[in-house]
Amino acid sequence: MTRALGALNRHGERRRLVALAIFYALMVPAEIAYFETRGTAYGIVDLLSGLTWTAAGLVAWHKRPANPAGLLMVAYGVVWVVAGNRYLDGPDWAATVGWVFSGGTHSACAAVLLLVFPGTRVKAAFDRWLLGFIWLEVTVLYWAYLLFRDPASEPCDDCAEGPNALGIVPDADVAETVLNLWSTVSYFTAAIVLLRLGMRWRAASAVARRALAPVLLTGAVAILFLIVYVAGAISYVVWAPALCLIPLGFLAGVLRTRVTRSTVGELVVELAEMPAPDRLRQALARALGDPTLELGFWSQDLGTYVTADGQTLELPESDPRRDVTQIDYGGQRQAVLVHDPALREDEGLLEAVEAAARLALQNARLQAEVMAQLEEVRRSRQRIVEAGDAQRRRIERDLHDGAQQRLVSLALSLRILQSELGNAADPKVEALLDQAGAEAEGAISELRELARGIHPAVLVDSGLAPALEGLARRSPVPVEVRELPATRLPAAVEVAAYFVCSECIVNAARHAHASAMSIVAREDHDSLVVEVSDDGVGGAHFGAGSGLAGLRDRVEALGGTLVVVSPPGRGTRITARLAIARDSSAVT
Amino acid sequence: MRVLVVDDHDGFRRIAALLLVAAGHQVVGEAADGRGALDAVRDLAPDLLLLDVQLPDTDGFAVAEALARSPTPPLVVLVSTREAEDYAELLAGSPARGFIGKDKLSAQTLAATIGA
Repeated sequence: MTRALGALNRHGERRRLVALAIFYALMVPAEIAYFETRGTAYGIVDLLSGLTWTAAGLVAWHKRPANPAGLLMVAYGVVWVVAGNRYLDGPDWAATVGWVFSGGTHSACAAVLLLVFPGTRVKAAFDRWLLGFIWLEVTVLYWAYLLFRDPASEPCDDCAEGPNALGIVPDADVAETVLNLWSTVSYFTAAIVLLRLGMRWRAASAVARRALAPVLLTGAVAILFLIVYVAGAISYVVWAPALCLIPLGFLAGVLRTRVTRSTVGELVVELAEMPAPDRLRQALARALGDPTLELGFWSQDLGTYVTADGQTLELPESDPRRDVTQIDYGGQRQAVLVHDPALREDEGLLEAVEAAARLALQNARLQAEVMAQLEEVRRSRQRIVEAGDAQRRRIERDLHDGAQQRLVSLALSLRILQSELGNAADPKVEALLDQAGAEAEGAISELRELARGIHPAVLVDSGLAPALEGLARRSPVPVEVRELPATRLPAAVEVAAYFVCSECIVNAARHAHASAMSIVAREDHDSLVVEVSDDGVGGAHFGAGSGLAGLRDRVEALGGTLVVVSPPGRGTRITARLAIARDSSAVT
Repeated sequence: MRVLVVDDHDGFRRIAALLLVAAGHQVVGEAADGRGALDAVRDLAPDLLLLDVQLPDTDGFAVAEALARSPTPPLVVLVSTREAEDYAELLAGSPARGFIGKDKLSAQTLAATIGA
């Protein structure tokens, strides 16, 4: 029905207006007849009623084309005016048409409206039966009355007197009986409709109640007026306009159902500017008018829906207050909306919002995927750095166990040889042995320095603090070690910190011509901060030859940062911040 | 003195033994790891241990600590290919008598370390 209405809307509001204009032009004779029979006051009230329903219906139809309320209200207005044809003196067929529609067809339209509003379908089977019964009553039952109606037995000055072509078996008694029956049934069904309305209000969610409230309010006012009128305190002319409030109530209710084409349009614009997942939920909740809306994104890794901040979203199983709409795209799960069930009553709504949000949702998912890929790249960098460190440790170990041991044995052997020869040695032999021993010692210490440069053993065995102290002791530039970490840290962090310091010392001695340096290595929340300062010439940068670029790569591969402050002539300070992460390699 | 040489490198054990004998000591045994060292000390009761820091199953400092708890612990001199500086803090807290870099090992340095 929604789609049919939508199609109607597209093809011609103008056509609709033209048709109504023609219709009203045709109804002018009937209106004049009504005015002549009932008088000006009644005439104006009658006209006003019909026009209010039609006008409100047109506005509702225009603003909410997917909602049948507009159509039903226009139908009410049309039928109301058509029934007025029974006041015509002639022609017969015109007056009969008026009689045919006088059984309360307008009320039947109102009944449909009351049982559907603010949704688009009559859901309950009971309501459908009720409406079927009402339509039968306002048509067939009333036509039965028309069959037996005997105008002669009902003389009155201001009644409708138009010819009734259906009145072929005039019988006043039967007519009266049928009319009474019709009357009773009308009141009865009206009461039941109001009861159903009350039940729907009680079961309605907040969103549905927002639409129903104006209807109930205006209805209550009209009923109040009716009671006062029936009690005789006011005349028809005073209470009948109160009925005109009711279409206004429906209009207000319809306008309170939030989503229109323009709302969806606004949503699309909003979404184009704010792809961030958490703002997306807010935008959708605002557009749908449902503050309880929850938005979940499908996570391929976890196999569940997660909210914008990474928490798992549990889908409600059988909660009558919560409805679930899955949003798939290209056959794959993308996202899910958990919302007020009343949003389903307007069928086009969720579809429109889904379509508008699809792009933003895809965007958000892609962003999340890119973040995951970036994270994987970062981890692979870290693995490469750690693999390099592990390899260097092995080289140092091999050097130690292999070449260094042999050189040591060589040096010791030479010493033993010297002591064996003792004083009996030829001075030339003595000199050669001394030289050989010196070469061996030289080789040993050079190899030791090399091993230390590759991967200092003390760093592995004892940790960062003693390693930095050793570095300071051996440094050509005096180094003041101001602060050191008290505990062991993950191996990758200690290695990176050590090499930052050793590289800085080399730079300070070689390039900056510094005369004093200081090192600070302290824990700050869940990071290690290493600061190396010197009083050299400054001007350090990340270019070739300074080794700083390599340091930065190593530090950043561990998810850290390296900052160089080196104004020319004012010394250099290098600050590295390393995350002491839980997922890095095990503490040695 | 009766000396036990502990080192996982057999070349060094040979050379060290030669040096020790030339210096007038008696080499009563050899061991190649920490476990073996503790057993040998129990069996042979040497006066002096020449103990490498890098051992396959443990390190020299742990062995020195373990020995220090026994009733009559032998003197322990730690040796290593690496320098004393690399072990500065560990040495400061160790019950070992001293440390000699392997390449510096000689009768004189040994005597100096024991006597000191």
